[in-house]
Amino acid sequence: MKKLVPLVAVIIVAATAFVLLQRNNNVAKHEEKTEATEERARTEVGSPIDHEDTKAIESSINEQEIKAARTSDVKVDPALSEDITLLDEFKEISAEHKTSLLQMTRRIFPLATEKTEVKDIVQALNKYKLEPKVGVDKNPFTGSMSVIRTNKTLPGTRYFHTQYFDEEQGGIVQHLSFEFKPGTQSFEAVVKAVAEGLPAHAEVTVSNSGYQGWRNIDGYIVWVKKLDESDLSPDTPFNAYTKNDVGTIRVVKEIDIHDHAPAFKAQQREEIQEQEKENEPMIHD
Amino acid sequence: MSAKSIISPIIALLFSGSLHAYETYYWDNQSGLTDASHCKIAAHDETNFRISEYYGTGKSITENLRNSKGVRQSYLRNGSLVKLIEGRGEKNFSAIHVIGVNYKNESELTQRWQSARGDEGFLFKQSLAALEDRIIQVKSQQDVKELNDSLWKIPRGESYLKLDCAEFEGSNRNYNLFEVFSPSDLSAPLAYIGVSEEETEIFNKIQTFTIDETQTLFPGLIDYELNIDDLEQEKSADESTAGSSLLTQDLELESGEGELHEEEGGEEDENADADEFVSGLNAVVCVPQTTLNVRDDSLENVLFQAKVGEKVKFFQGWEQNEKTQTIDNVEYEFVRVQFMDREEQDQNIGWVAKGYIKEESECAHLRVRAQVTRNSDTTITGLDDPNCCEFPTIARVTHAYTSGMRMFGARRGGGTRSHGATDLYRFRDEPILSVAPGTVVRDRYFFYQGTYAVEVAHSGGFIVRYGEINAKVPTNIKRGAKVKMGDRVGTMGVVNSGCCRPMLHFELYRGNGKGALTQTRKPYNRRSDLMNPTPYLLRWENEKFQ
Repeated sequence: MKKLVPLVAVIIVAATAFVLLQRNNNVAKHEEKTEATEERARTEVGSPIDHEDTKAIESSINEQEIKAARTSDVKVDPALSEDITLLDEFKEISAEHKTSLLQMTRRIFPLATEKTEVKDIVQALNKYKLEPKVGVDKNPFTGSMSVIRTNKTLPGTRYFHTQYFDEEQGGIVQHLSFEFKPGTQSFEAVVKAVAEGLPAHAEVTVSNSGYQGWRNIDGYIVWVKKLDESDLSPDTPFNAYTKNDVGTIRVVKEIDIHDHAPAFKAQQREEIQEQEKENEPMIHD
Repeated sequence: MSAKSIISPIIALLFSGSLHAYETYYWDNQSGLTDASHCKIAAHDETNFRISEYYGTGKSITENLRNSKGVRQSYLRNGSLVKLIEGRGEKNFSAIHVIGVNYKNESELTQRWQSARGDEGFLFKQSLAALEDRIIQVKSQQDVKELNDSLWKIPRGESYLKLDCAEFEGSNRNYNLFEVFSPSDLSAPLAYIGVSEEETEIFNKIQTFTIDETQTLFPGLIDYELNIDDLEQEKSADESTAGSSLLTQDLELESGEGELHEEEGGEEDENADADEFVSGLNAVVCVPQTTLNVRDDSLENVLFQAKVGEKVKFFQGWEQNEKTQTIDNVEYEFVRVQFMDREEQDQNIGWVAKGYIKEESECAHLRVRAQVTRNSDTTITGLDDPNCCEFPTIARVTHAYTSGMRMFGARRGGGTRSHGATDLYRFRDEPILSVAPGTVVRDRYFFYQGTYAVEVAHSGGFIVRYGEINAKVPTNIKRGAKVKMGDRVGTMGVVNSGCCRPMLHFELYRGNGKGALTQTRKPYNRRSDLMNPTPYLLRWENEKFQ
């Protein structure tokens, strides 16, 4: 028996050493794999990978999945992760999409002002790794319009678009918009997120199940619309649509042109009544 | 229209898959005449093509094309080629799309309020005649000169004929079959050509003749009938000559699927500039050859070819819009795109090799685009020229623009700003007309509540922004395009808030200001050379509609 004890001890030590050695090997391989993955991903994606993104990537070595994971390279603002409680009631929308929505409405949307410059918007988009691209449409007669869009998107959002008009000194953001993924609760969630970010003096102009509008936002209006088939014409410039996009939520901030003051509304009501009188069957001359 | 009965089984058998004796083609807007020898010919009860004819007591050379409210929006010349729009229509009116306007000379095309190709509206049902009631003459076809002045007729028989190419092309298109003759040789058709309702550019410029007119001008043409015996003799001829050269066209169908050039990225820098492209963000097909293959979702099949320079829009979001595929041992990255400016709705989405889509200003394979320059037309020397100008709507406005919220200078924003335009109320989808000759200096952009704007620098120096128009504009309205006085520059839109009637938001500028038209400058938020257009509009309106 006494001879067996050292033997058992040796076996235990050997087994332990073996297990430890295996673990080390695995860790080493794992690290090698991670490095290789990072290197490959860095080459294909073309940007540094944050450490927290590595776990997402290392679990999907398949190249297709690496490509699909490109949207996970966009940077989420960590300060917003707790704020999504604002949208708690919308259970059908993922936390990721809620965060994206708040990131757009709180960080990007407010950039549409008379004082913002193109570089401010590019900077913000770069901060979130959305790969902005700017098209400058200029001519000698009506100056320059810069269009800013992005190659990447925050999850659940797409088609970020800004139009910036130059002036002799400076310029003005004339239009800023993005779209949110369709869903049964998407419209309400977007309206809530947008409303929460508006100044106190913003006034609601239109409010129904598919459209919400505000005015009096320092010379701008904001509107949120659930797109229907008539909005998805292939003739629309910039954004590609199919019929599957019905229900997409479009969010826009743009320079006000018309007015929704009470006097204006009264006039419009009168004109709508006149219009209703014209709805008679067509006749042939 | 009454349906024709099905042709007899014997003739059907002879036709099916074997009519290659005469050259058989179908028309494709991008690649022109395409060999259709692989397609079957089948009987077809119906076609959606029709011919417009005035119906009523009295005589008229035109019929009214109306909008959905029953208001006449334009005059459609008798004998014009239209197609029915299925699923729409009122009790006694059919929804139609104008394919080709019947005209005898170029000057007729510029008449005021005349319907144009691409217009949609409603025609009285009795004003729609059968396709076989007219012979169509294709006036000019630059790509295939043999088709200039060619005469197109429906083959005589108890049924329409169509080309069925589904087996080879995977699409369900019906190509309505026409017999095509050269006016100098009416003894036999030049070719049989199928035209689908989705791609009709071949009928861009046409003239049509009634049967009586044809009997006089082109004797023998009406009487020509496809002879089965002749057909069988031709079938026994060497088939290798089929499809060759009575009509030839150089179709460069080489596809471009070269190497990708994935760009290496550097360190992210919040202050880094974005890639900047001149002339806006307009992605186009950019290949050294003429065309690029557009593939289906599987990437295995080619759906169609896109031409170099065709504009595309990238899809973003929800679905998978990027894929990789190895072809001939080379890995390609594919993206899903939508093609703009295509009239065929069933061939405008597909997958293309990403490396062959570039911003317009970055594409070396495009010909040098014309610079945006002033219109050389000096007919109009300025706003005060007696020949100036055209009122921009096709009929009188429904509400005065000299008062109320529609007028120039009306208070906005509780008095913090002023209205920098006049609002001209008409009806949705009505044409908007260019007030003078000019050049389109800025194509559609997002303007207000789901509507768009286009900017035109007119001869005489003044500038107009046509605002609150629909997304749909005539295909020739692009940056740099020249327009004549009265040309369509868009269609009337309506803002999506429901606040307001359909209108044209009309802004006028002297032309000596600097920078963009929208500025922070108060009270109009517009450039310093903004003008009150009211006196000019009143004069033009009275001259036009007196």
